[in-house]
Amino acid sequence: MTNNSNYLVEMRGIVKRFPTVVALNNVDFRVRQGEIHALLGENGAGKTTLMRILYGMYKPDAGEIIVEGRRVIIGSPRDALKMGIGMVHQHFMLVDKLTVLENIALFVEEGFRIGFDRIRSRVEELSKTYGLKIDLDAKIWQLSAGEQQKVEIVKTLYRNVKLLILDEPTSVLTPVESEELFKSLRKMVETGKSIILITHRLNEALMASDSITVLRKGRVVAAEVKPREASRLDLVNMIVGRPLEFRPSVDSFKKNGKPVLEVENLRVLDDRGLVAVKDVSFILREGEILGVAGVAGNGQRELVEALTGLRKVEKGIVKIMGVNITNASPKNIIRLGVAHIPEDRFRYGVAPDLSVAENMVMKLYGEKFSRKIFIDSEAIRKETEKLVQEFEIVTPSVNAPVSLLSGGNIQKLIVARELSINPKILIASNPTSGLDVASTNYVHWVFHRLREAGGSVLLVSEDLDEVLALSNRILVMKEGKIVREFGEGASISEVGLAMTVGAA
Amino acid sequence: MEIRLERRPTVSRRINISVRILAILFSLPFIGLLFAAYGVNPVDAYLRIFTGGFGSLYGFSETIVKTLPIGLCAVGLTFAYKARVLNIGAEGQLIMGSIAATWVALYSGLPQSVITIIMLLAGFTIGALWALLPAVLKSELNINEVIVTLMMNYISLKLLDYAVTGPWRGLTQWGFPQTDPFPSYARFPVIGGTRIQYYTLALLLVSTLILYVLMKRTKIGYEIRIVGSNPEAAKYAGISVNRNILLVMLVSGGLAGIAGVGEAAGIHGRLIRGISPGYGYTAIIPAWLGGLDPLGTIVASFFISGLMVGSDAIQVSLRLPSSLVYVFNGVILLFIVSSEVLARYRILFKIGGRKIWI
Repeated sequence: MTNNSNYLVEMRGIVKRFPTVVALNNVDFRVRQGEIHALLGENGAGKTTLMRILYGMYKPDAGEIIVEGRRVIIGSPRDALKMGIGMVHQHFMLVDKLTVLENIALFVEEGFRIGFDRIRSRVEELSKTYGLKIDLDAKIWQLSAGEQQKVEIVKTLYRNVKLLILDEPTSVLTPVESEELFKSLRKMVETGKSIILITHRLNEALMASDSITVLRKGRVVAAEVKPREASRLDLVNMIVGRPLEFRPSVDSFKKNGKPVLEVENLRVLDDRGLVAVKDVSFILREGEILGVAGVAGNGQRELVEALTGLRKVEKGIVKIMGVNITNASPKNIIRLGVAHIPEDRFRYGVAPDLSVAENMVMKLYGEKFSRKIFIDSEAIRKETEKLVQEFEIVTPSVNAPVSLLSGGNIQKLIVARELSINPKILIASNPTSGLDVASTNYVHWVFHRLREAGGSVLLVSEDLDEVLALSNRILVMKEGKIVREFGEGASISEVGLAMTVGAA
Repeated sequence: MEIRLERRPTVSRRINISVRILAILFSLPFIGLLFAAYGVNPVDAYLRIFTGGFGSLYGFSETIVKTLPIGLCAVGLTFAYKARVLNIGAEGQLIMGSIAATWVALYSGLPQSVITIIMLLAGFTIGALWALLPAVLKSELNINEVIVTLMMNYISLKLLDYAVTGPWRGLTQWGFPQTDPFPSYARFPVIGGTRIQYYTLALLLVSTLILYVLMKRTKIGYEIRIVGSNPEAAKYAGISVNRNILLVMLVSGGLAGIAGVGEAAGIHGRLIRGISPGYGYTAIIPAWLGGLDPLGTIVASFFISGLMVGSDAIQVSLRLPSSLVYVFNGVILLFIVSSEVLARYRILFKIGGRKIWI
């Protein structure tokens, strides 16, 4: 066995199959000691799957893993941690009601009694060394996403990991917080640790990493590319495999169109009874795409739910085409021509036990697909097949239960459904989350087409690139208020800064 | 060797049915242990149960007699469970239906020609109203319907007790807790030589058919299925969740009420304490066993009824306690519910390099 001593971890010939798809097809992946390695690819390429195998959460169907020159079998995260491999997931695994200290203790303590003092001093040490400031006595639910992420990182560092895997860490961070994160990662690397950064963002990979490996549809298309050597265009082509068709442009925008959605002094509470939307007012005009930028958790979800009849409006007025729809039922709002792509696709978007076709007609079954009290299954089937083809939704058949579809395909179904009602107003929350670059591009094109036809879009998205590319105007939402408005030509740093105004 | 649970790539009717049949087959050895504990040969006991329920003409007809109330309740419950409204109150709704029928037959003073139809309407209405309260509590105040319907069963039992020992106690019944017999024109005709009532049988078949078509082919059925699958998505799509909760409760309550009318007017010809040997509870099993599909529910109701008749038979012939039947039903329900997992997931065995799926 050759001793590749400068490679900390090697994965060779990894194959992983799931019932409907081959997620990883003969993948080779290597990380050196003391480097930040970006694992780049679009959603669904297999990045998270590969890392979960490394972290012991999945078992590969074929292939081997070599850590520090020795062949190993990683049966569980416990094994992985013993070998010095740690992972910070996209969805945090923290207990909301406990404090930061308690959460860390939960993760690191092996014995019967918990040495809180010992843990406290060690955590403070780690905090200082790597520049990760956290308040040990705060409860998790009080922390922002960025702060929670820091807790997750410290949790992992506590276990003396040699390799730290981060899954899409910047998806919950403001641009400023991302900068801080990368600084901390550099400090870790300086002490000899290795970092694997899972990301779909090209800029990040180019700016923050020492080495890039690109995955596409379960295969490696480029390995250990050095950022300085690769051109941006080459990388994009590698990720996508084909050139993008649509380049959004924000011209052909008629200013001062008729207002179609008017929001005045809106006040909405969140699930805990705290004020989520403080005093929001804005106007959406005909033929415009209005973007709402902001880090998740600043009231966007509650705002959208209030506008679509899913949440109570405490104070304020909402008018659509001049009709007062404050606290109207979803049915009446839908009747006015409003479509809604929800942020939480599983909570609101689909009925899991029903088929793809039945889910596709959830909004229109009354008008278009029924005669008297009976449902026209044939018409539903035809329409669904048309939409499945148009949006390239991967499903065994239109009658398959929708729960079999991957998250990305469910999202495509929801987008297809909402757009198929030819809405006058589309309220879209993170519409392209979980979608690959080609699908994202297609959705953006459809939004554009909707706008050209005189419709309007309220685009609430955590993806700054998306908001900037599509919107005619941008509102920045922070802590339940609109803190700034930008017209055309805003730059990412201006908007990013506005998102952090007032941050500690 | 490695064992893992994997999602099934396709869900087929064949798998659903075979999983349920296997569940029942697997439950038999466990119940067999119970028989053995009573000193009875399990195989002998099972044979007697089977022949008791299905083996003779009399047994078969008695099975159908029980299928009527159980089936009516079960089909209604299928409708409710499909919307994820857990109506446990079929028993109480049935009892209230029989009370309503009794009032019409004995105390309403209505002309003979309309008595039958009024009894059925009254039974349906009262059963539906009995289910309305838990429905409203659920839709308006988000109060768990399992608890309310269950508690209301006890209320209905007490009302029944009060009626038959108090104001409605039969003047000719020597103090027994039962009412006077219904006049002959208020009694339901039966198929000659059996206790199978025409009207109830017809209503069972008609309601099954209607609910089947309703659930699979109409807008109402579609809405109900979405409400049951994800009430939040239903709300988001503009479907009125509350209206559908009310609908399924009214229907399941009403059908149970009709079952009660059948028991009072068809079987006993009077109102008695113990008018239902737990039919409303028993009906819960076929509703799930049938896969929440009215046709499957009817088949399952028939099966459960046969089991009950057979168990009655062995109580006498083998001198086993009557509660054994309830243990029976409970164990079977347990097996069926736990086997639900296998309808959606399969077990993967990796031995050496080979893979075997179940």
